[in-house]
Amino acid sequence: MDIAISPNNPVPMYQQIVDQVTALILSGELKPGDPLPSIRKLAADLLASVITTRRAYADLEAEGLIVTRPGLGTFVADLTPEDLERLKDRAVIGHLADAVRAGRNLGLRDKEIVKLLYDVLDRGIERG
Amino acid sequence: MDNVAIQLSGVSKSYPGFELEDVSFQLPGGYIMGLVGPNGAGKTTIIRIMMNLARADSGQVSIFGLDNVAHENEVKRRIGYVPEHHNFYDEMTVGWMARFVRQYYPSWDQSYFDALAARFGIDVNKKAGALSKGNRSKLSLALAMAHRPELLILDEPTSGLDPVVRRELLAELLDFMGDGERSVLFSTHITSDLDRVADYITIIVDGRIHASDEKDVLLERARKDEPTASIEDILISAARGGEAR
Repeated sequence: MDIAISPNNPVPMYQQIVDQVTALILSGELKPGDPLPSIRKLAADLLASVITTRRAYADLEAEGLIVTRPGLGTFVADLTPEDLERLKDRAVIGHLADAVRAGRNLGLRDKEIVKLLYDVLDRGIERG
Repeated sequence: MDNVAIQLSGVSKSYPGFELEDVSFQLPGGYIMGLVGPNGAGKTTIIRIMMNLARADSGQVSIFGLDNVAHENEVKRRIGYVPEHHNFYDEMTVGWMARFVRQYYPSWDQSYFDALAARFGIDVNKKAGALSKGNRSKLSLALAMAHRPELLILDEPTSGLDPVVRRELLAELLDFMGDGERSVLFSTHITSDLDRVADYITIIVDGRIHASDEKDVLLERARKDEPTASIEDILISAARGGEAR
């Protein structure tokens, strides 16, 4: 599993694992039914603590993205294409909600926020 | 894993000019605990009391649920200990050192030692005195790990080592942890080693426990005030007399 985490990132280490595994699943890089490393194996690979890694798996499991089958291991959940779409929408909506909040906090009207979104879409996100 | 690897209850000891006061903490089996504190805070004294190399004035140490004094031999057979200063016979070879240590541990695994030495790049035919500082630390760790102890107690194992070697040692520790049957107590003032691998952190300042908790819990608490707080920041604020938990 191709993920990398850093203790210097203000995002907690367990959340970094959650975010990156989620991205791998939503992007289709990890497919439903694919096996995930054991908690201790992943902790050793990432040089992370066992408690941190366990918490990440617990969060991923609570969100329905992975399942643990006792005695067999941990796997990507059997998500249908509709599930994946819904989860992707949810992930993006969270960020859009942040953007809307930021805009409103700065006193922009919703219309202006929408216009900015189109600007960003046109220009590409790099300079956005 | 509801077994307890280490339990200290009310351990106190005073030397002239230094006092360890009412030290209590617990390490559940299967995890790594970092024992952090400024130089002179009492880390080595705590470890020496655990190893029965120093006697507590009061309080109790239990390891694997056994009193560490009453059951000293059994407890020590199940521990791998790396002291702060490596005492090698510098005129003897690495292979001789291994045979010397082996006689004390019925569970010694020679092929595991050989594999560790190879992985660490230590030539067993070399004299101990000819090893670099990094290789002395690695040899010390290999000698402590080769009987596959249930508990590793490491006193400043990374001090004086370069970042590359430190990273190698940490990876080896995590590998050693296996499926959760082993535990590690790791004292250090290089807190960045613990930002990654420690499950639990015990902070000791001036002979007293400032905090002992899951690392993620300590970090989360500190990051409410300072979003990029690290273990080092927590230690520094503790050493400056910050509020205890």
